[in-house]
Amino acid sequence: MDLNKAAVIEPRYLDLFCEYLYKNMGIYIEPSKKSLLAQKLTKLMNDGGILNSGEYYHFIVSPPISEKQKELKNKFTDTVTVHKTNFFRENNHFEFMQRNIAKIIEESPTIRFTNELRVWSSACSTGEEAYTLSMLLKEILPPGIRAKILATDISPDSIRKAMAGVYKFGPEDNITNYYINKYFTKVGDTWVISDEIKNNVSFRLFNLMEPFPFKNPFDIIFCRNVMIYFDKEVQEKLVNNFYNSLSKNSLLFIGHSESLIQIKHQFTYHEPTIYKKVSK
Amino acid sequence: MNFSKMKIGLKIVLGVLLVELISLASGITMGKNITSHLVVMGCLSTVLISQYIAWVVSDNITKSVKNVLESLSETSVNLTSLSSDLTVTGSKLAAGTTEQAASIQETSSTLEESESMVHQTTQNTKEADSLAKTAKEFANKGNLEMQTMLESMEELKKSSSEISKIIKVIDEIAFQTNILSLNAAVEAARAGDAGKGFAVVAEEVRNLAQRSAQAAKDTSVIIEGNINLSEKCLIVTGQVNDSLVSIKDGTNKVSELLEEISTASQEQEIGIGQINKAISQMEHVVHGNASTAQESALSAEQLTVHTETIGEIMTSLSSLIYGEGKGVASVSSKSSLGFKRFEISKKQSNPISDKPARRQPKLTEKPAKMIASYDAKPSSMGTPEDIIPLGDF
Repeated sequence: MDLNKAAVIEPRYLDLFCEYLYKNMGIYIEPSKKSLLAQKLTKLMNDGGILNSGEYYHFIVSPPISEKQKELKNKFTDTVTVHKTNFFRENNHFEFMQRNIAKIIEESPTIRFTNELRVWSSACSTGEEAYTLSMLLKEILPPGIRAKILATDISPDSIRKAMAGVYKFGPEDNITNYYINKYFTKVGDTWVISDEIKNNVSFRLFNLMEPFPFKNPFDIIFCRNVMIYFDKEVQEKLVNNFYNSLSKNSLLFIGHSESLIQIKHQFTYHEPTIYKKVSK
Repeated sequence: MNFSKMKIGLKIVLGVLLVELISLASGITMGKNITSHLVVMGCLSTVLISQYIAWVVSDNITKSVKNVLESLSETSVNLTSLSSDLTVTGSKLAAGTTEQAASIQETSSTLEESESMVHQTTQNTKEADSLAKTAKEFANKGNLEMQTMLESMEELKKSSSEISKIIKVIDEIAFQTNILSLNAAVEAARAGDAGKGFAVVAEEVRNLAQRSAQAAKDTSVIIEGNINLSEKCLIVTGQVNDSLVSIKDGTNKVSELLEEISTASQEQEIGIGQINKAISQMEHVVHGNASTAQESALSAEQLTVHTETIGEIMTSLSSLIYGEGKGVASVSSKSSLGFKRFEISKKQSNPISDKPARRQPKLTEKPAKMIASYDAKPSSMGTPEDIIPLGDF
């Protein structure tokens, strides 16, 4: 490797990238995390064969006109966002759903008429959360009611992986053999999710900073370990948008290290990390 | 030097010499002139002798060349075998480092998430700390106000006792007034008609005295109730005071604990941040290693190709010396053995020995995990780029 030809990110462009991330993705880069971003950008530039940080910046911020630029942009999004996820991660949310499914259906003004439980996994990453929900709801929903799950993420690469539904299980995966044997098929050393689970989930590319385009409200929204990357202002805006996209008595699940205590919102606290929309 | 051609030439010369010899013999018996035959035979003998000398010299050279060629051929076979081993090892190393790079990337992602989570927890703890401090202040304030209230209650109890005393005085006055009114009534009766009016007044005074006595009694009961109540109040206020003191102590402890948690999670955050940096540096290095390993695997493969070429050169050299089909066997059979061994070792070698199902990765391909997800048929939704419209949602 020729170290003399390695890319270096100029501080001026590092600041510009921070600004771009905040404005377009809501991601707030703490001053202490700037060096980490610089490392990531340097690697991206080296991989893309671009040595000039100004050139790279313009590649990223301008609308893509070539396949190469599109790929660079996708790689950028994929690298600056974090894709940590597992099956049944932060399991008490799923346990809560299992315990309270009858109540959720009973209290909802729509589920009994539409026979549909609408769930949104708003930052699905590589799809583990959405498929966990699909499997769980398959198990616990009463007959006649089906789950309609929307799973979105900002990273095209993650969505592509999620759509493929091919996984490897590691020690950090909380998934039991029951679910693995029932809903997965082994192909080589990977596991492929079954079509009955896949069919309940629609994957879409979506940036949470954009206006919400939904026609109908959701019954449950999962937005876990996303707001940790946002500042208070962005968090407030996002939580408010979630509130407006939920039906009456519906639920918002947030990450275990998160809390809505520091922001202004209209939700009613239900349990730690579980909030309910009571009015309307 | 082509020995086979030389042998053919030699055979022709020998043939001609034989013919000349027969002619000479027949010439002598028939008494013909044999001079021309002798000249031809002399020339042919010279050629034969020189050929013989050449053959002796070249045979010696051939023997040495053959020895060198054999050693070279053996070395070439060894080299082929070694370079194919090197290719396999290089591929293994490349696959291993690529896998390592993938897992480091995953670790890095996990760490970054953990760092952000710890950061959020730190923020939450700080918030809780400030809330606990506010609660502590309120508890302190409540405690002070409770003290004031306790004093007021004490005052209230005292003033109730004072009122109770005054009521007793009023009761006594009423009693005495009653007696006086009775005396006045007796005196009015003695006075006869003149005292009739006075008797009415005395009766009224008696009524008033009795009403005063009743009112004093009622008031006394109420005051007694008040005294009881203020005593109870004092007890309750004391209990509230105790509770407030406990709350104050509790919030003090909570505040201390939160401060400790806050400090600890800040430390944790810094620690994770450092690990994160280290991991991303490792990531950098591992990525470098991966490409180096791939490069060396490629070089090893090239080495195999070159060694094969050397083998081929050996074969042609040997066929040049021994002639087609001769001497080739020793080199080519050896080299083919060498390649055979390479094929076997290629089949046997597996970059990830504990995962037998996995095929040998090509040097340029991505980690198997990524390939697996890319290769799999995507669902009917199309590619991420063209699914921005949220359809029926």
